[in-house]
Amino acid sequence: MTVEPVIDAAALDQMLEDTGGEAEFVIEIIDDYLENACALLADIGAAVSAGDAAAGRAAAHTLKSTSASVGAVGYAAIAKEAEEALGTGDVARARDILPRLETGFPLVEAALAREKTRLEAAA
Amino acid sequence: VSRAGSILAVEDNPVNRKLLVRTLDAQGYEVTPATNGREALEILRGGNPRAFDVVLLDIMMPELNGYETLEAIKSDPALRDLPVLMISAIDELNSVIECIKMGATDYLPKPFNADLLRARIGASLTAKRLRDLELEYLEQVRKVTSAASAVESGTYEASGLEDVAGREDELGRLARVFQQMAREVRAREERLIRQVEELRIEIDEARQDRQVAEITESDFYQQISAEAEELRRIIGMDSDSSPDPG
Repeated sequence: MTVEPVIDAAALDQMLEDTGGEAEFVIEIIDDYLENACALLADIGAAVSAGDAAAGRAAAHTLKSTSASVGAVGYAAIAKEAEEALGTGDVARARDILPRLETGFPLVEAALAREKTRLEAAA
Repeated sequence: VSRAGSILAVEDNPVNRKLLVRTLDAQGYEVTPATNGREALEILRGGNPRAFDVVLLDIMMPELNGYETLEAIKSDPALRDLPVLMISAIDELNSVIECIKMGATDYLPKPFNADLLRARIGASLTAKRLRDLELEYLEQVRKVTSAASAVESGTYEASGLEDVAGREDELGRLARVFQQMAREVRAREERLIRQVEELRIEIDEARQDRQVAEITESDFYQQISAEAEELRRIIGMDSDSSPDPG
């Protein structure tokens, strides 16, 4: 099954409004997210390889939370699946979910790049 | 410019923390960020415990998680009245319920909804201010009862009740009446002390007169006086003349 990551542009517009209306700040958050998510993805991969369900769960939890914050709703849902699997110690299931997180990330990255362009244009 | 309230925001993830701090700042709050529970407790215990009005506390954190931090706050007498709002993903309701049982005021789901954030912080601030007023009232009631004990033990100082007497409510009136009564009691005491002192002097004078009378009326004194009179007569002196020094 493939999941098409979708960025909810309305979530970013709401963020813009809630944080004082400066597009630069939202763009900064997007950049921080991408850097953070990349590291979290690596942490989940390392934890799954090492069979460390607790560490993998913590990383998947954060990836779920931050992805939802930037409107990456579909990607947050995959991270949630990984979190739940690791929460029950099911590392094998998490290993099956991991490729979807890895292939989904460049799509999130590309979608957020488009959002940044949109925000810059509107600023 | 006065801010709407002072908030300690405890969130380990840098993206969520930055977003939370900015959103709260935009709402007019003064925000201090902390990256985990241990750091939050250091901040809370390192300064004035009343410096913060609300704590926003993430549940899943390294070092000291939300449960452990909440437990530490609620078991510390200096911090236990501080409202704590838990931050959690919407699918962590069981964790939230556990935290509310442990004394958390409420929770905020992630991703943050700015209106809900404002509403829940507003409710917590109102509760905190009422609690602060209640604590201040109880402290001032304690001052009045301490003053009553001080009157009994004679150590009362009127200045100890000045701030309570400045209140415009019934407690302030009680403190003012108490101060007035204490002043009257003090004045009466001082008057009585003066009267006792005067009586003591009169008694001492009467006692001296009586002692003089006892001596002068004694047979021995009478005999000495008669002999002295006889001696004065023999040497040719009147009883009321001074002896000739030559």
